[in-house]
Amino acid sequence: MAFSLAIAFLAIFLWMPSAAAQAPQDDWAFRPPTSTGPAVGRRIPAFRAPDQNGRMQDFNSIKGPQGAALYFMRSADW
Amino acid sequence: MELQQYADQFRKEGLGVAVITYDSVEILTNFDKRQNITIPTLADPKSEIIRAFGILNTHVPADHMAYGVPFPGTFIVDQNGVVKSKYFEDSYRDRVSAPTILLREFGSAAGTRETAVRTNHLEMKYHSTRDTVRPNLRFTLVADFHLQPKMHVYAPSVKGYIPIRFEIEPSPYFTAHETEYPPSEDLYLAAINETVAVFQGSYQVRQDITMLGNDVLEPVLKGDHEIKIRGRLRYQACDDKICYLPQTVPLEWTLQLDPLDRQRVPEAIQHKVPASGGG
Repeated sequence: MAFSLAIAFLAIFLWMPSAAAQAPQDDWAFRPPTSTGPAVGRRIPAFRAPDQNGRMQDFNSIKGPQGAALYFMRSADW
Repeated sequence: MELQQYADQFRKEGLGVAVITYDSVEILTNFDKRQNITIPTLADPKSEIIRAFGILNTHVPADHMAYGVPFPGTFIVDQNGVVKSKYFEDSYRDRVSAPTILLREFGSAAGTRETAVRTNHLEMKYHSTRDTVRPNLRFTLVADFHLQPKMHVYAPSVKGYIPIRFEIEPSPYFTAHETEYPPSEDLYLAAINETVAVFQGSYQVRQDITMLGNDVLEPVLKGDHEIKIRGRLRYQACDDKICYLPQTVPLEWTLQLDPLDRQRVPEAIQHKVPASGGG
């Protein structure tokens, strides 16, 4: 009993510093990307999705004569 | 959305533009109407495209409202869909501004408030790619140099000479990235029988800045909305005969700081926090 209590205290002790180091915001927000997608020189995957007017778009409908700038963003809501 | 403002410049370079988010069509319709956004914004509410690209933010817990967002970033792809370059930042809040991408990709100039400086050795014109900035925005300070004929300054790599140095004063409101100098030239100096790395003629130095977050910038956003960036240029110029006294030229940029758009879409179509909560 005393032993398990000691383990519990130890666990809290070990856990505290990392919790204290966390910013008040969500932890995930401060972690760098684990992947940034297709490497330079590789082809992007095919995609197809509706735009803000409900019109289906894909790479061919978006690209210009030299290609495209594709922006992946967080959200238009928050 | 900053991209709307620069879409024509991308098009002028032959690139189409599109934005992809994990929002529903309803959210995008609402937001784009409010913000007068006409560039294609694609709805990927199940994050299928985001997953196909391999950029799902895997740090977000599955029961969090934000689950499904990508690691934000930009791909520049050619007409065959091959990635030419990409721009990703470490924090999901930070983003590289469109004119910085246009500058990197095409050398296109942006920004309107140019300052000109002339010394006995060189002319320098400097500006910021953004006159107006927002929290978490990465933009670029650009300095274009033109040295007098036969004049050179030493590249940052030289030993035993005073190299050119572009320095930004530290600030609580932004981070200055490493200064980017162009490739130097090797110049043979007959007088001392040595070859040294120098800059001559016209060249450009770039300095990226990332504004810190909303919380840190709050006093400025509640105050005069003005961000001053101060720096200095240090160099020693030499011609084929003599070296002149080292010079320090003060530099200053005054930018306007705008708040982030924090308005959400109507509640009925908002992303929902799962009932179980998720922090």
